[in-house]
Amino acid sequence: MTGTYGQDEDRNHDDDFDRDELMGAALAHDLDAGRQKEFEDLCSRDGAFLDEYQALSRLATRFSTPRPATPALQWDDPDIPAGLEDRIVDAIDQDTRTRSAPDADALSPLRSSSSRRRAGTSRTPDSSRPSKPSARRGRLIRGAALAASLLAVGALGGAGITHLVDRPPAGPPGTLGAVEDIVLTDTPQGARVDAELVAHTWGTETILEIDGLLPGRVYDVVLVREDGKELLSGTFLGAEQTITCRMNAAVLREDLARLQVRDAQGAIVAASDVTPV
Amino acid sequence: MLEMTDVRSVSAMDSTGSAFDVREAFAAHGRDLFGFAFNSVRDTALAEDCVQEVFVRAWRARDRYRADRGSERTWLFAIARNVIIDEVRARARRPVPGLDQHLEGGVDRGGGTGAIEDRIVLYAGLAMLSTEHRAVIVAVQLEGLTYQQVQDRTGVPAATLRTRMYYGLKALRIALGEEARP
Repeated sequence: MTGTYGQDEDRNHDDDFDRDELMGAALAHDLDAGRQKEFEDLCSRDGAFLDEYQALSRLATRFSTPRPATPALQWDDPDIPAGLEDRIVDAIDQDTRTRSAPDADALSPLRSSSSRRRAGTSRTPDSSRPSKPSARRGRLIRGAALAASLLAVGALGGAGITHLVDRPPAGPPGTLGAVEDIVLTDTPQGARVDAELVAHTWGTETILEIDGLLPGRVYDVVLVREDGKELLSGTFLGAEQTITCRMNAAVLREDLARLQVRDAQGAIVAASDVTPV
Repeated sequence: MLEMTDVRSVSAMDSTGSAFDVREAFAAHGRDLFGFAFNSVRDTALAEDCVQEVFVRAWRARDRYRADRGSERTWLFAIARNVIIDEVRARARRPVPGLDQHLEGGVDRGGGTGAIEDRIVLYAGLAMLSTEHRAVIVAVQLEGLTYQQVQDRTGVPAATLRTRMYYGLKALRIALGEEARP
């Protein structure tokens, strides 16, 4: 049983078929005058039919609802890439092997970006962290690290490029491109929120790994400047799985005073003061 | 008891005695998961990465999966939704290296996280449908064709397409968790 929804019906007779067809026509606004009258009559005498029509109509409307700055919904049925199944099995096999190795975090090609960038810090590898098996993601992270390194190289006059581009910049809080660990406190029991900050010329990037917040609930990530001004860095939904997200805010690291995670009511669920720069 | 039975045949048993076999799960759901990922991110390589991530996360979480609480398909799609939402957000917010002045718009600029997540939820629901139901919903609700036009294109009678629309949207409500599965 694959669980694909809706592999039954397509009835071809009786009143049920007429009723179902009428509903389908109404849901596409495909009724002539006679069928429209028939539909309205049925709605007026059958509350359950009307309720179902309204529920399905609301759902259908979501497909055509304009979403600013996002393209219209479209669907294609792509062919599944050859070899994907084997690559998945290989990734799981490699993940299992590396996670059972003594220094899994150092060896695993699947470790998270933040774990990768944390290499050399004292944080203990956590087997509950999500994987990042993506070669593409790895390329992007290496690309970002490369760009950040080249920024530093430019300031240094280009010396030692080969050595420097292999790793992201390091340095005290506020160093452009360097990853800064943040310890968040006051998290709800059973929850874990790990955070890192990266200073950029255009603002501050926040990288979060979150476990244990209520699934489906909306949370805001807020950066508070030293002058008290609050900037929304982004939002996320709590989930049963570990969440990894990266957010940006237009506040320079040197102006940043505090990082907060808030629930939809604005209550702080995790927070930390940051080191003054 | 959970164990790796073989490198090339990855399977495990959950606490209720239901097996999670990666290859079987991929055969049953891989195509639809890839369709979901591809339509959400519009990038074949990235969609592959997302599907791989789904199965790696599923494998890691296999001891928390309970067959008596929901189907394997629903479980995998729930993981996929999180993977894809994380990826789309990350991509929308990812700075362009060396092009700070051309920082791409984040998901909160214009699109809004709610709009993006709603799109992904709808794509997940479409991916979970049967091919016939998805086809009529896509043709009529997304592409704006009439039933007659779809009949001309596919040869399926318009009356059948109308009933498929009804049952397709009903199934979609169930897939999205808006209605209990009968």
